[in-house]
Amino acid sequence: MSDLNLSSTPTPTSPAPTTSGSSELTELRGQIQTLRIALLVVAICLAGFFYLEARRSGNALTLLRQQVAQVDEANKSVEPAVNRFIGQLAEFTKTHPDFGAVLGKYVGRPAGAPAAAPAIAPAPAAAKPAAAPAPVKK
Amino acid sequence: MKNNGLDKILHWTLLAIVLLTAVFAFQWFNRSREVRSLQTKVVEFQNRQAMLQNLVNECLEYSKRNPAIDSILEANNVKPKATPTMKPAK
Repeated sequence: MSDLNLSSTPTPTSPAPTTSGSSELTELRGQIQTLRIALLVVAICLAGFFYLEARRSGNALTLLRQQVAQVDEANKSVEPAVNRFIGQLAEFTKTHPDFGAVLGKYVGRPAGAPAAAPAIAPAPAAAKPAAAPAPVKK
Repeated sequence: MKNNGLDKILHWTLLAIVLLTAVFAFQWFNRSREVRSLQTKVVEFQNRQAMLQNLVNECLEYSKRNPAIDSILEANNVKPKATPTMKPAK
């Protein structure tokens, strides 16, 4: 009897999981589709951003290349004159050691110049007050 | 079937866009690096110009105290050559 009862007991939940599983599957598919579309939108935005940045950098690069070419050209034409001028100033320093301090600020200590130029007359812009104590030299 | 087709389209579109993004990002990276390098070069040149200008200014300042440097400055067109004062012709 009990067996009969058990076997004849209707299983109301047996068809339900199929329907529910199917609907969940459909829902999941919908969500995946939505996520994919969202991912696509994000990827398009990112690609657009990189495209604009690459184009902007390309424009800047074109301008800079021209500028650097001009700079190189100017540098090549001026360089010998500058070197000659500095060489002459270095020669001048040999006979006028007080100029060594001026030149030393820009091109390092020129050959023949004393290590510490004594009695440097300060430039007007960098003039110190008269009351300032003289640095002690060893 | 219809869904499957849409899936495929989405999938391939996404793949293509990801590839495009990678290409653009690579271009951007390379170009930005080159821009920085060139900018450094330009700034170095500008610094050198400023340094030379300061040197010239200090030389001119020094020439006020010691005119012996004038010959060098004049030879390099840093200082205009002193024109000898000519006596008016009678």
